[in-house]
Amino acid sequence: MKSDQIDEAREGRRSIFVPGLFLLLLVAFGLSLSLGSVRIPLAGLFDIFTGGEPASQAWSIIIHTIRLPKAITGVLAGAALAVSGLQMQTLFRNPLADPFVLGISAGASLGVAIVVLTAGAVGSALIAGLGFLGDLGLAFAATLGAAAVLGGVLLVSRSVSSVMTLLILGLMFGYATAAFVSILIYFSVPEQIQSYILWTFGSFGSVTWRQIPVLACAILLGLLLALLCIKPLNALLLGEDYARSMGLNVKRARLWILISASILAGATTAFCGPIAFLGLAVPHLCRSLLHTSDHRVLMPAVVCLGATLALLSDLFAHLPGSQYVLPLNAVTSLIGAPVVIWFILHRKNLNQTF
Amino acid sequence: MSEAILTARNLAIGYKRGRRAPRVVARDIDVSLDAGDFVCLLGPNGAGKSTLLRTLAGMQPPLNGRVEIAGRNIAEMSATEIAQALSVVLTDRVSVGAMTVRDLVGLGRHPHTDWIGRFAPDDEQAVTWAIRAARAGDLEHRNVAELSDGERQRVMIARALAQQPDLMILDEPTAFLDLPRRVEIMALLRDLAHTTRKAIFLSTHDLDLALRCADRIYLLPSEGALQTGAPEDLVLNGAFESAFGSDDVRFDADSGAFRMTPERGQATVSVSGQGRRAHWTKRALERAGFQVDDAESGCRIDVANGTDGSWRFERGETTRNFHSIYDLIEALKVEYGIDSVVKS
Repeated sequence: MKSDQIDEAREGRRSIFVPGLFLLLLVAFGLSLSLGSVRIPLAGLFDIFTGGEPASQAWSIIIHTIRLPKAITGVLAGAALAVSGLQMQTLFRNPLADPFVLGISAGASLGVAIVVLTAGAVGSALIAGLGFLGDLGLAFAATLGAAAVLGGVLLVSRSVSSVMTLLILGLMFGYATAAFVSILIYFSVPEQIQSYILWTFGSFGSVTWRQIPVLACAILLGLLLALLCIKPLNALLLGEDYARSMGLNVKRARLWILISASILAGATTAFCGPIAFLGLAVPHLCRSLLHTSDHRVLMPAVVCLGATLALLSDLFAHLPGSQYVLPLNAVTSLIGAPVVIWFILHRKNLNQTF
Repeated sequence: MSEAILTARNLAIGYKRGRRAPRVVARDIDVSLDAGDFVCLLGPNGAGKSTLLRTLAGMQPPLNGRVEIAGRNIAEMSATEIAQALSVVLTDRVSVGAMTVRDLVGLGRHPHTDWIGRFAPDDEQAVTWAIRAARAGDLEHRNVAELSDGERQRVMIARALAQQPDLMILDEPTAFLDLPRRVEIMALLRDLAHTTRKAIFLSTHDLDLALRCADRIYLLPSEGALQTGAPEDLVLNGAFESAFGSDDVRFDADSGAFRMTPERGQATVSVSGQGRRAHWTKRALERAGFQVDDAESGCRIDVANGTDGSWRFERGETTRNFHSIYDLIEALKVEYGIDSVVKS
């Protein structure tokens, strides 16, 4: 009797939470369209999307050119980082793992740093060219950097038998890349450094309509691969030896999980900058909320919660009603860290959920 | 009449080491298990028990020879086919985080479910059956992180059962458990082998338990060949003594247990009396370093079997009575000046 109740409560929790998180995502999406330096009421949004005539022509322009691409980018990036973080945490059986443990963001940073910081040395014409190319050039450089590190990690992962070794190698990759960036910064002029720093703050707003299909394709591909990795991830919960004994080809599973997680993290970083924290925190929040480590349940949950938190962070960063914009990275960490600290302390210790 | 589940012939086990010659842990190994066999693998530390189990489970390739499961060479089977034929319980302590016992046992269905791990009705039935069979029904909805070591081991056995294999291989399933839990786990596994007709092969350091419940024992000494037989055969032919015996320890073939070799030059005492009290008095004396000899000697201890509960100690003219073994031993130590820390 008692155990049946527990079971029902648990099942109830799961069946309510995932649709609940999805509803929350819809609300956050609406809010991020409605709120900002100019407040657009729901009726206005309705008019704009149903092809009606909104009260102000400016609203339509704001929504179409700024807020809608930004919100779509936020959803894609948040979901991608959260899924990537979940995969890394399970693959490395380490609660501190996040999408960037293998140096993917460091690789992207290096790509951007090379473009931004060496542009002056090559000539002022290149700076002008950079301005013309706009963000796509940065995204391209970041993609190349992330892909280079990813390629290195995947190459090494084929000959490394222990994930711990891989984790440490990834960290070393990251340190080495960060050192290169330091050297570049040391020899650069303040203006260049500032534009590099701006990129590291992270932003959903710099992705244009032209770029969104590229970002969306990469992230949907990553999510599709993540879907195929759900069963291997569940098997890996017991450790690699047990996973192998249950018929899992551990090396191949590891390769696909790394590819999926890296595409997700790499694409997001390339277009939005290195956005901290979401990838680390969202999987922990979901495990705590849902009381499960089952990836069949966690995967949709982190997609919804990751996207929601990304949108809400961006909303905070834009300080609705004011003209000021805070760095996105500052907001995700500043608001996110206390929430996670409270959550983890409140729900006994981490050992119970990880 | 027998159905061979596992056979290994002429097996050499060990590790390949790149370009250097492989490190051979043991060679010339023949193993065979039939359905319903409950077989224990014993051997001193470092003899290669884990390596042998890992090789038999297909988790590492043999250096030589072949392993067959139900007549098929394991090297030619796919990982999923192996997983459907055999399951393992390892010594790794798993930390799965937030997960109920039922969820964890459900992970054992991995080789039977579709690409995303969806459960069909027969998967649910298999999980329910495995939990009942491992006598873990009362744990079903508990969180794995809250379980005691004994309960956790039961759950890992249930997980291995949920895989519905013909053969289960367990690496030291009784390590880290207290004695009653060890007996429970061994009894559970033996019953499972006999009732479900699965072959169960496990390594253990619990010699005493293995002697009592195994249908057959494989003995892997540090050096020399793998030996097999009924537990009693191995006791009688001295295989245990030669595999485990050392200067400090000897195997007592009468009681089937290990004894510490007594320190040399200690006094000899004789014990008179019968029954449980006499048995434990002798044990205590041996523990304290006395040699117990039933022949009359200068020192005699009379174990009264009556209700007055006293031990009488006689040596020459002296006669003293004690009400506990502890007092008796302490007095004897003083008498013979054995213990250097005795307070005067």
